[in-house]
Amino acid sequence: MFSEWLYLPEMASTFLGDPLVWLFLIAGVVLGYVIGVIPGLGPTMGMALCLSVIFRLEYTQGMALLVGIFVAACGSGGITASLINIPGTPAAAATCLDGYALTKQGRGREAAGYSVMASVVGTLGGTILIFLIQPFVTTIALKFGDWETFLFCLFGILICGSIAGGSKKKGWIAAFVGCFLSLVGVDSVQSVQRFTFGNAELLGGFDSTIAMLGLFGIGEVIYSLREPEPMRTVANTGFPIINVKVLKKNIGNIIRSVFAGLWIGFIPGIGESAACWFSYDMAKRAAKGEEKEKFGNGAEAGIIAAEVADNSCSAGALIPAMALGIPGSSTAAIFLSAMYIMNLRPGPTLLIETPGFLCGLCLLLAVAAILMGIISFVLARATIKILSIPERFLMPLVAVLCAVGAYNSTGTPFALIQLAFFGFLGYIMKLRHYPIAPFVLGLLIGPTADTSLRRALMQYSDNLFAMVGRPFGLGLTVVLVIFFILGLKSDRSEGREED
Amino acid sequence: MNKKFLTFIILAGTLLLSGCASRAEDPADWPTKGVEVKIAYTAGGTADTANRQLAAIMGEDLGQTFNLVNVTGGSGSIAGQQVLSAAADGYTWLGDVAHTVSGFRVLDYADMGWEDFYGFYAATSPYVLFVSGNSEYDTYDELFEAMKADPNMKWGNAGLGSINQLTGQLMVDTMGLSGNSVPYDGGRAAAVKVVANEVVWSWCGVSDVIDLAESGDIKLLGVCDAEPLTIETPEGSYEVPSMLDEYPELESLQGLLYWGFRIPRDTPAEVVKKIDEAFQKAIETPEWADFCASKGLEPVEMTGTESDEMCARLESIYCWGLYDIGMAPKSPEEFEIPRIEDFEFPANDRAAEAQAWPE
Repeated sequence: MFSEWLYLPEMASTFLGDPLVWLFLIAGVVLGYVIGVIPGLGPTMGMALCLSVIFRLEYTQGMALLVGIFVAACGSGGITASLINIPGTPAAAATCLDGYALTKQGRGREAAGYSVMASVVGTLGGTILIFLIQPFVTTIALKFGDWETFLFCLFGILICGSIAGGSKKKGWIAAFVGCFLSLVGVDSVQSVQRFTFGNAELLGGFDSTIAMLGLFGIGEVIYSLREPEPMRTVANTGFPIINVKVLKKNIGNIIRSVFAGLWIGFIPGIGESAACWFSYDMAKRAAKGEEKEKFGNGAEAGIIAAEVADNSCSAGALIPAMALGIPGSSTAAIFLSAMYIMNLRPGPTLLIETPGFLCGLCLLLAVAAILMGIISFVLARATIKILSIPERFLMPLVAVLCAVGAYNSTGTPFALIQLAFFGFLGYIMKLRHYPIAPFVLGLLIGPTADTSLRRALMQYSDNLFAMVGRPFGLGLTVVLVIFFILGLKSDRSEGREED
Repeated sequence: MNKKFLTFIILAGTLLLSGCASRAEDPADWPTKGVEVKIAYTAGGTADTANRQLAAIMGEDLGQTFNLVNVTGGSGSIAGQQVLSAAADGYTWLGDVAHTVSGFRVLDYADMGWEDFYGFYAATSPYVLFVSGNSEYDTYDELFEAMKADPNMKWGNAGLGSINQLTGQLMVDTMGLSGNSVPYDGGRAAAVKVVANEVVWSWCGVSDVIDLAESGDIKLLGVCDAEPLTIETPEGSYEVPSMLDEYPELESLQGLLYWGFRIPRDTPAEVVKKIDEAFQKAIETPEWADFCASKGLEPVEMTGTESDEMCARLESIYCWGLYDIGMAPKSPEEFEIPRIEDFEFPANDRAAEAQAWPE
């Protein structure tokens, strides 16, 4: 079990001594960067495209290609989020809040810089940590029963009010609507059709990627039509900028976000799309005075928290998925599928049959993170330039990209109807000042919260006390209660200040 | 730079559109382009990996690249409808499990059944009964005794209405036992919950859990097959006894899991024959044998009338199972689907009138 650590030198030479591995890794990172930057095309799609190629490759090379795409696509989504307020990948949604605010102040290069830097640090931090705790990962992952997963979802619901920025009430309402819409479709516990109104297209429910493209993308496009000559602060083009002073101030933030992301990665069904919100909220709570005011209006710490967590979560989620052989997210699912194609068998026998595999994977992840940093830095210049074109040219492009991305998620024309629906919803929400972030979070964790609670209740139908008393869950409950009370307290003091 | 970006968009759009365009072509020329396989299940499961492996082998043989997409939702009915609504020219297949399309009518999802397709199935796997590796139960009889003593014993199933859950429940009922069944997201997820000791036992195709058995994380107590299974673990090997010797009434649960693909039944005979040929070749390759061995699958060649009859039998078990647990809004009787006890092939007019396999 512990011997995996000892394979490091051997794996370093196997993986990194092969020039073809480097070639595929670099190709993967470049491809991943492009895919990540384009809204709607995420790591899942990028890796799925490669499945038809990798069975011809050595497993080391195939893994390099996949890891390259995975890391770069997860990491570069924040650039689009920062520059045009449309998350390149769902996991980058939280980056929109402060990244775009910063761009509007004409500091787009900084926004892109912090986003890239945080992605690199997040992936590296997540990988190093996961490598160190790898022997215990399976044990930790198995501790998450349905009750514990539900408690985590409750955390998510609790923070909906505060990630909103502005009216808390509107935050809760948006979250509720998001949760509600996530329940549409055939439910996964009893296969009952909910709110489908006999429409076969709705059996699968709403797709969260499409929802996000509609809410952020199409909503923004419609909104921009309101102004005859849209005003847009064009970011200065050039390489991304990182201010070292800001970085120093954020060391605590980074460490916290790495842990938060990693931890959430262990819980199946929550994943990186939600990790960024948890971490963003934590950073916001930890900030004081002036810093706190900046959240939502271009706080560097907000971008960093969101991007570090989403990338460390992506890395963190891979390992339990491989150790148990069940994917916790769609990206992990493609990864597992690819491993089968390369004759590797994810699951508890992986390390017996392919010793050193995890070690090699961690190496690839780390190297890919560094390569992504370099490549993103170079390519970001062009990206910033492209995305800084005047709004009247950009918006039609965004609409097309959103449509392509949406169609890609399900491959049915119904995707476009969904896109239009969410686009219109996003527009109305924007018009009425309802925050989109809690809506998205509700949509993402709604199904997991629903399934895990009902499953837990079924499992403990005869003894509810045993459910509440599960040791790991009990600990979580205590934390949750403390969190709730502290939240109430700070709400009250904020309320007084407002008076 | 903007130009480049625009070019990319146009390229992407063209690529998308080219996928939709279809021209009439001579069936004798098939295949002149890549085949699209719509997999009705998520990536990573047996239906997905088996089809990807088959597609890789057949693609190489046919000199075309296969494109595989996972179209999930509606228990596979969305994928089924996409395949049936595409041109029946042999370029759009449905990657699935043999029972997949049989439940849509009684579930009121879509009006289609196995008679609308030719099914090509390449691998099978028997059901196994298992407990956690550190469980106190070492034989299925010990487990059955314990279930008698505790009628609320928790067991994990692969999702309410899944074929694994229905056959598992059928097994429990046949044995005159009971239990508290907790639904999970697939046989594999249920097995992991057995390892985590959230539930006591579970039941699924051995291919879903073979590695968990080999690592000793779970203990296989019995197999629903005439032949016993041998499992190699780090602590040595053990034999999993056949449950059919002692309980022959479980025989109807034998040979129900088949993985492969379907093509619409109105595909030109010439194309069907070519697909059949490529399929036969593919399942005889060492690559396919290796893949099956590593996944705990047994390679089979299930095509022709044999495949139709197997699908029809599954339809009886599956539809009545769904109806009996109250999940199917329509009765199988409406569609003249007999219970498995009264099954005879062909069971109804639809089956009798289905287009025969090309000779």
